[in-house]
Amino acid sequence: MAFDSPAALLGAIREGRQTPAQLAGLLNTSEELLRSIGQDVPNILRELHVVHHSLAFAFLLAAMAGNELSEDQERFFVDTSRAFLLSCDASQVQLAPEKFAEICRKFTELMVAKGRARIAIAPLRSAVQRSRPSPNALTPAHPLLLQCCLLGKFYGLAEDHLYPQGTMRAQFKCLDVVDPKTTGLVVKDFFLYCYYGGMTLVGLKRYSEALDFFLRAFAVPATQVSAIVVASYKKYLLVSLLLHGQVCPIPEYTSQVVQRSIGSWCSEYLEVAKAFSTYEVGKLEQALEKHRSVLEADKNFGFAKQLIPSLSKRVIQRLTQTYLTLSLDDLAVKGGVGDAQAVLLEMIEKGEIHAKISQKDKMVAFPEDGDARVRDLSGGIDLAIDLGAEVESLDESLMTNRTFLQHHVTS
Amino acid sequence: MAVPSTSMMEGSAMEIEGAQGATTFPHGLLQAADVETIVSQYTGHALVRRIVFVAKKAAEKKDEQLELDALKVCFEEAKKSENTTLYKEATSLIGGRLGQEYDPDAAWMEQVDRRTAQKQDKLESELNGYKANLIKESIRMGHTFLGEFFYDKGDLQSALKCYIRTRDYCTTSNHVVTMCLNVIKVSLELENYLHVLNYVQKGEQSPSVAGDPKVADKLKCAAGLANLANKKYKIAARSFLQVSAELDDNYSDVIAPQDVATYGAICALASFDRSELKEKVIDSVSFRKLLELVPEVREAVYDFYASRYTNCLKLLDALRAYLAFDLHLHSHIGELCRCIREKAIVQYTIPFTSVVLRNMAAAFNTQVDALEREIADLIAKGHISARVDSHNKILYSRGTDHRSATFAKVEKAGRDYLRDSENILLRARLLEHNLVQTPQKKLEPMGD
Repeated sequence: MAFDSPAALLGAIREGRQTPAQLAGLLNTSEELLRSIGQDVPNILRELHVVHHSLAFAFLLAAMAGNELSEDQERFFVDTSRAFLLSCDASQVQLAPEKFAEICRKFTELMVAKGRARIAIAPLRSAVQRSRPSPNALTPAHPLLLQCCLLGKFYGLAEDHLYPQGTMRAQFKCLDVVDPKTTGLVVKDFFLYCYYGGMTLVGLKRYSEALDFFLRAFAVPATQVSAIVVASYKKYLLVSLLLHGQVCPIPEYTSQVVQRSIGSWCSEYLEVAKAFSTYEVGKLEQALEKHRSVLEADKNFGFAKQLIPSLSKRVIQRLTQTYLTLSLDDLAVKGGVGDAQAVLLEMIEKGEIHAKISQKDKMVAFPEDGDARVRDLSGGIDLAIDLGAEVESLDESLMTNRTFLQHHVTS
Repeated sequence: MAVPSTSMMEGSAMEIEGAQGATTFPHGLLQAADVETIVSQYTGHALVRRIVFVAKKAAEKKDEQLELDALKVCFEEAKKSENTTLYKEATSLIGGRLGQEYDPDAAWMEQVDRRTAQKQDKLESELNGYKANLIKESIRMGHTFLGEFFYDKGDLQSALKCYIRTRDYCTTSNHVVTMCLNVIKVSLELENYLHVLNYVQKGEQSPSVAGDPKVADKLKCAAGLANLANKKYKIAARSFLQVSAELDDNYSDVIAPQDVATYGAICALASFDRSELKEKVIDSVSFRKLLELVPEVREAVYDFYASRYTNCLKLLDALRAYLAFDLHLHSHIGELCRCIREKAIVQYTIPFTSVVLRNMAAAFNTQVDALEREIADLIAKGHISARVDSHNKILYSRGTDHRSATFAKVEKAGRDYLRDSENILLRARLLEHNLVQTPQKKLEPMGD
């Protein structure tokens, strides 16, 4: 039985005879009606209570979000959905996760377009809390929240929503991907979560974790290359150069189409990486200058420029591995730096190299770094064993999962 | 060949001192190729190709005497054959510098062309006859004859086609081997090395090869040449080293035993480690016989193994000039010598805890600064585990701390394992929920 008029709809909602689940079923069958009453939504919403009628609110607001909005309607939508996101009833909105996600997306889009991303943070945080079926589940609101935090430069706030709470191996874990029927998650949300997550960690200068986030975008099964994966890979290349001085290979579990074609999408970046691997600062500068327009178009130029001082340091670090003593002049020539002494002092202060400068004969000595820390590995081994067991049990459960096999093995 | 047959391990250093510029080494220490040597070592196409190559190289180096000598031989060879293309090339390269005798003879060319055209007609009509009668063996022979005809004429592409066509008509394994050898010979000349390797493999699988060392040698030579051209020096060295000393001039229309020894030894020096060098080169009875043919290369190998790097590098430097005129080795000799030099430097440093760079520079015929740069490069590449004291010009070797290195390795392996496992789990979960990036077209109807 579907509703045939707005009045019947309103009446049923206000009477509140049905359980929320029944109401959700009814509303789902009334798609036609909801689409046709687009203009009247504000009037109906004024008759309803945002907490008591959260489910109906979600459907009606989503119907509104699907339409083109005039300026007045936009203002109404933004104000209403802000109030809605901040105070709706979690148990009700979780019955309509797709609708809820739609509202969040539209809300964020409008706020970002108006340059009011900061104001969107609080409602989206509340949205995340209300829409997740379990505390560590990834929802479509997560990437939106991260996006707004990034725009507002609240990296710390974004960081709270990157990792699951209270787990040990936090660095390699990301939020749980649960059944999309309960969260309304689509694959683009996951990509954005990886991308914005990586960006947040770059903002926090936690490069190694950022690398893991960008890498996660490659784990997504794909039959076509997504623009977000390409953008992630570009960032991945730059971070990887900054952190390890080389491009780490793409992992084996990446989908073939991505593995094969990703290089052709970012040839400029690969050239920069190649210039970096020559250990010649001049060549790197040339490569950056040559591809400046591309890098600037991707808004990566500023970040890429950080590679230059990083390479100089790497060259000097490599010299410490090669020489026991070296004159300051030679060091300046070989390292391609102007004032070798200043650079050295800075690096020594930061603990990046061990060196002693002798002012008497202008020599630098690099003593062997007595870095023989004994690290505790037992914890790591336990983690690895647990994880191995987890992989195995998932493997077993998937092997007996009929739908999974039908989808991905037989076809 | 006046090779002193005294014990080569002990006496060789002395020999070289006396040998520089003397007659002990027949051609190795020459500055350029020697036309007479080439004529005596090769026949058929190998001779012609090498001569033409030497002529062109000589022209590059402005050595007119050598160029003209080579071209003379080339002209004579062309005149003997039916290869008018080669004849034209030779006369145009000579360009009238050798007087009337070596000017192009149009009448002769026309006559030869007419004769070969007739021959081709005859062969082709014969072949068609065989084909009509469906006699397998005759068809194979027909194709082979036609292939040989094209090969003599210098039309390599057509020759290759004919030889490959015989494939379907091979009935015995001997036929297969003949076919393979023919294809290999032509492909080598066409520089189609992938083809060469394929047919070498095919030939080696044929059962008749095992009983015929000559064929096996030929296949090894071909494999070596192809791998050398592909810069796979280690595999090339292994192929050449398996060639037996009985090669003699069996394969002189492709390669001479002297070449096998030279290529094999130099590739081995550049790519083998000490134990492999000893086992496969120095201790190999059959290869030692081959090495006797090229004493200067032999000395270089023994010097290298006995760590007399000064002599070894001197010899190699001298050989370089000569080998620059070699058809197969000219483009690789620079790279190979560099590898050998690097290996020598690395081996020199291994036994010492500290090395005075001044002494080492003397051993390597170079300046201290240049050597320091070379060593620094090698350290940076990770070939030498040592550090340079640039102030006192001393190289100190570096004991690797295995304990902390292992710890670091374990930590990294653990991290990688954790990350990869997590990501695999993630991927499985995404698949389970069908969150897959698909082409846009499919997404749109779902979004509606």
